[in-house]
Amino acid sequence: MSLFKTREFWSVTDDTEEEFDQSSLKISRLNGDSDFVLIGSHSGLLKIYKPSTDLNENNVLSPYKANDLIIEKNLNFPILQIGVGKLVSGSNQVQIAILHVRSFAVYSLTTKDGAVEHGNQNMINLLYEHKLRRAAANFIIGGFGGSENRDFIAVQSLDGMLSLFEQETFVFCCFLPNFLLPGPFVYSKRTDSFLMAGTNWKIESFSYKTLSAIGQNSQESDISGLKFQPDWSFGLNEDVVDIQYQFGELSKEGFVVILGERNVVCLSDSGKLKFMKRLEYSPMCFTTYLLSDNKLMTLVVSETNSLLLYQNTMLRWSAQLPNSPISIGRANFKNLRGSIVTLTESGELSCAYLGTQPSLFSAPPLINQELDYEQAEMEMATLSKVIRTRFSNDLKLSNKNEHELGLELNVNPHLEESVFKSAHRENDYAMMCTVTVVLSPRAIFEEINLCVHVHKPLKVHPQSAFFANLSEGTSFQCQVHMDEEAEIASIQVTTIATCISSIGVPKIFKKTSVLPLNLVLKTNPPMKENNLKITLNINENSIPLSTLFPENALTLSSNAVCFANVSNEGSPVTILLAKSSQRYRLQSDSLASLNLCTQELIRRLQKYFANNKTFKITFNSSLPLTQLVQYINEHFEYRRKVNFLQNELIQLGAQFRLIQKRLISKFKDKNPTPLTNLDMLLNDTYNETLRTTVDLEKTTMDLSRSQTNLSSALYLILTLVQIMEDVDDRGLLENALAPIVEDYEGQNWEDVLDASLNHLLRTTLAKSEKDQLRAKYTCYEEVKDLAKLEKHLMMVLERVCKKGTILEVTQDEENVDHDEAKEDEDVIPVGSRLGESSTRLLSARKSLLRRRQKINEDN
Amino acid sequence: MDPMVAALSNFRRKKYDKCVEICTQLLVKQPLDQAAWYLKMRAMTKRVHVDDIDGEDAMTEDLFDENAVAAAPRPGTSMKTTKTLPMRPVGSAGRPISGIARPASSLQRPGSSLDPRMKTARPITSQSARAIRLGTAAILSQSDGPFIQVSRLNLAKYARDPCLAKPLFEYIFYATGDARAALELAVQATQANEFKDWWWKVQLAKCYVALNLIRDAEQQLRSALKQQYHVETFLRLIRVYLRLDQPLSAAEVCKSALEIFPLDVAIFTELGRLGEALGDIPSSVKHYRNVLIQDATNAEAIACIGVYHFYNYQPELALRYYRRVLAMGAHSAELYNNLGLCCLYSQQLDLVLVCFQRALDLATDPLIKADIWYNLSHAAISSGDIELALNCLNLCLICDSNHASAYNNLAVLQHKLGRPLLAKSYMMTAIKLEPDMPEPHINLEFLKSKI
Repeated sequence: MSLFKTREFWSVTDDTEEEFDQSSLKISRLNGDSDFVLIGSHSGLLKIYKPSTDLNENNVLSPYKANDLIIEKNLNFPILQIGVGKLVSGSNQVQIAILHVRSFAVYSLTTKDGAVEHGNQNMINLLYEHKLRRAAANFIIGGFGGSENRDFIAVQSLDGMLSLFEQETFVFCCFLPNFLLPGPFVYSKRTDSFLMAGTNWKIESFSYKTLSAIGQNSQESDISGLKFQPDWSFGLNEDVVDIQYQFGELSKEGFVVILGERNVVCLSDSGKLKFMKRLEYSPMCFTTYLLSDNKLMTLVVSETNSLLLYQNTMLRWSAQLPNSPISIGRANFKNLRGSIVTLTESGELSCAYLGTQPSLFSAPPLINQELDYEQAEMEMATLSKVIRTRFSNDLKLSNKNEHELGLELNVNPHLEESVFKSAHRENDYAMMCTVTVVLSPRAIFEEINLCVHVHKPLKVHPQSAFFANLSEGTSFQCQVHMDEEAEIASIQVTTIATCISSIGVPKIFKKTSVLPLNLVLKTNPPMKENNLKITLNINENSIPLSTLFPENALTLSSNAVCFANVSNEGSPVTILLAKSSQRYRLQSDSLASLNLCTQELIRRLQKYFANNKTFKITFNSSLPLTQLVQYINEHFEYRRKVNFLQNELIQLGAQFRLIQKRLISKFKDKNPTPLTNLDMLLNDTYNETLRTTVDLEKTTMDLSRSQTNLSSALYLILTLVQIMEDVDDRGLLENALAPIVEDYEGQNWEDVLDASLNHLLRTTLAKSEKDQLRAKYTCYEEVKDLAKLEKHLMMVLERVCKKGTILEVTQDEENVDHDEAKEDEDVIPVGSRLGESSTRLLSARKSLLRRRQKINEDN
Repeated sequence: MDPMVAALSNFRRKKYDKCVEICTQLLVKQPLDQAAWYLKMRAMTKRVHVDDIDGEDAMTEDLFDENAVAAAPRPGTSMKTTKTLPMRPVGSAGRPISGIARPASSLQRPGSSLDPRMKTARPITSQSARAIRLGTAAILSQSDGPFIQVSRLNLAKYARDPCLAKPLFEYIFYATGDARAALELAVQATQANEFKDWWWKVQLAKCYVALNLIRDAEQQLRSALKQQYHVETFLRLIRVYLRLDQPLSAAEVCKSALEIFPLDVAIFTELGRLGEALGDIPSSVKHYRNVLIQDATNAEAIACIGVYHFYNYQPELALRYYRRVLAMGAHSAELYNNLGLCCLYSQQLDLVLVCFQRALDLATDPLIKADIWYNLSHAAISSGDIELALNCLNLCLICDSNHASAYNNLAVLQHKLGRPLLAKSYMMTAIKLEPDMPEPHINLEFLKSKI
């Protein structure tokens, strides 16, 4: 990023397919008065330019002209590097040195002046050539060893041999230590040493004297040499891209400037750090020069084509380059000193200077620059539509549309051999039942998640399915089987489809069905006498049991049948049909076992008499509450035990981690200290943890069994209450009793039950007005005393049994509800179900108060 | 042309893919050629290399976090608490998107390795007489398998090799991302160098940071600095202290670094960021100004000074800084957004909508888009168009439904339109989304006192 761009005044593009690298560019005065630009490509083409840089009448520098190209010659071998120097003995002329892979050649440039400028004739002639035995990488030319009027050549080969030539003759060669790949190197005049950037990411200095001593008597054909150490070395933190040396004539000090992959480092020629700068970009190439007052200037080209000029570490200028150069140099031309010469890898050579020409960044035009009213209106319309849909989505939530998705739940009455493995399985109940859910969507749904749910001991597999972009009918099949030995609370199967429609509105569909009885029960010989008895009266003629239970018709007699759980859990239930009276009697030793048969019997009777409006089942004796309380006690005990064990585990875990921590810090210590028996403690804690875990597992199983028992008992009580008093609103009591017994972390079933019972006692079941006025029961408390809960439960059931109390209030409430809900909907479109229910409660209270006032007024 | 020369040249020109290709061919011919192996390894590392100094690591909550500091630090000594300090009035005036993006990686290199502009291959001349250093069979790689199987290498042997150890470390650390193996190599190499090479100590620290052993990293970096001062080592040490949430120690390191590298831009930038994070804006701006004296093109410094002026009620000055960034060639949604806001508050109304229009055109990130719509709502409010402001805020919420300030402002507008209940619910939402924001609390109290 920069404000300005470079001012290019001379450029030439090579349209042949050439390839250039960092060392393909050399700028030198040769034997003339201003600089020549030499480039050599990887395919062997050498070109020498001399930009004329004449000023025309407007004081503008002349651009590239055809005769700026002095000579172009194909040398047939790839040119790796170009150099210049006094390379012919006995001559003060400067010659051109070309490095090929296998040879080092020296050429001279001669010019025969013609009558006019374009009549000049230039030639380059091969003066001599050193054949190289090893593939070369790079070279430097300099007056090594302090020689003034002749230049030496040092060629570095790919495998680390440094060969030195004194003009036409081979002097010596030596092998560099710690070598892997050739890096850039320079010659320091003041210390007469080579500074090499090695593969080990260090700058190492080898003095010429040492090298020549080592290389004495060496042959070019040697394959190894003596080992030697550098005079000094400086560690860098990265690979070296390029290295340059500047010698300040004034202060007689040398600057070694190293361009790394992320930093520019400047060393003195004795290996001391002068300064360094971290670059925020990745550099491509650089060049350095010294100003007359010993200021070191560094020109760095970044990967994003910026040219940055630093004086030491301070950024002096930055400008944008038109292309990405691979090599950069500085040249003094006629009329223009210090011009910047850049070469790209495809051979674009250009000369430029820094100017204040702004790098005009023009942002791309806007899509609709001129205000088009029609288009603006359209945009406005789409945006307001977006806003509208945001709100209307919420409204659509409440609009139930049952027709959008057809959901069918089919239960196959024929059982199959179970294929599921279960730990507690015995052969005789290894049956399973196939349940098929048929989905027939009438609109497009983006996502449908379908799940099938059954009550505990039963298990369904697979439990859920996911459909995306469903537009046509599909079905989902799953199997239900017994998973544990336990009482069965209910044989209902429920499927729930959770959908997101194509416009992003979520919806829920639900279907319920009943599983075949045979899946969970088997017939037994009838029993004569049992502890618990339930007698159901009907007001029609009794139906023979074989009609009611057709699936078992073969095995049972018409007036007595006995069912037992397929896993032999609980006790068998005998159903007796009194021949004379219209009565059914169910008897068993366990309340939980009674549940399923009672439910089924009632369900089947009601189904049989579905057309008979006057048909009624009644239950006259008292509810079997003592057994229920027993179950609650049992569940409570187990729950307490589980909690206790869990707390124990938490403590043990914390203890274990603490010991571990102590051990880690002990092990990490530099000076080892004794473990002070911590290892024993760790072992002990571990064993204790394992023991507790086993205990917990067992207790959890017990808890789960007591949960199903309790659940079964609750279902039975609910069923009985319902037929006993003909209460239509089973939901209220069902919600309060919560027959699906579940214990969450930090909230037991008892807590929930207590809270809801309390709530009922103070609202709908309130006995006196005083009760109603008491603060609503809203907080959950952990139940510690079961006696209180028991009392509440008894009270609720007692009051429910007094016919009519619930009915009246609830109906009233419902009516008021509807009106209020409608009003609510108008005012607040955004409302969660929670909010709705709370307003409902609120309105119920209001209506109660209103009624009370009315009564008062009447009085 | 010799293929090794070609590979080297391609590496130098950052054509890493081509370089890898040539090296692979070389390795097929001579599978144990260490030089080709080295170059291929370097090229593959450079291809994925990230400048990890600027990579911002999220603090990981760890059960065994031994570096935990006091939970209730004294003000000004931690960066965790400063968020709640009333630094800048975020809610009252628009929200310029502060600073600039700090790129964590240098993966996007225009015109480099990813660029397939390759010239035609040249005919390869006969095998050179280059003496080949042979490695052991461990560097053999299957043509279809991974280049180096780190688990097969004898790390102790490579750690002793002065040429191969460093690039191998970088390859393991960056290209395979296996900090554990890298650490092993670094430990062995430090020992092989008799604890004299500071580079290995820095690498050890890098590995320790990656493994979340911050205190060990600090130790290694301090030891490395005793041997050799290096800007990067200082920067890493600063990062270590930031990771430990000890900004004062970090500032201390900055100061000692400035004594050795006076006026270093990277260190000044760190100081500037530190000041910003601690809520000490004047000192932050002072450091950013120092950065600009050294490097006038530092966009981060310009943008941060611009933000300072904006919040200092000098939108005209901020506008000048942002225009400079624009002139330098930056072209982003955030910049146009900030320009638009500056124009709005410095009364250059003709440019406001144009800037925001451009910002909207350029924005792709929904969060940025939300902020732009939010700022546009301010433009609408200041022109008195409440309907438009409501629409803007709604669009803002559609882009980012957790924008608490937008909910707050929406509430205020609804209150103005005479819907106190709706206003109240919006305010509750705002409080729920950002409990630390003071405005909705104050507004809600005001509203409650009225009703």
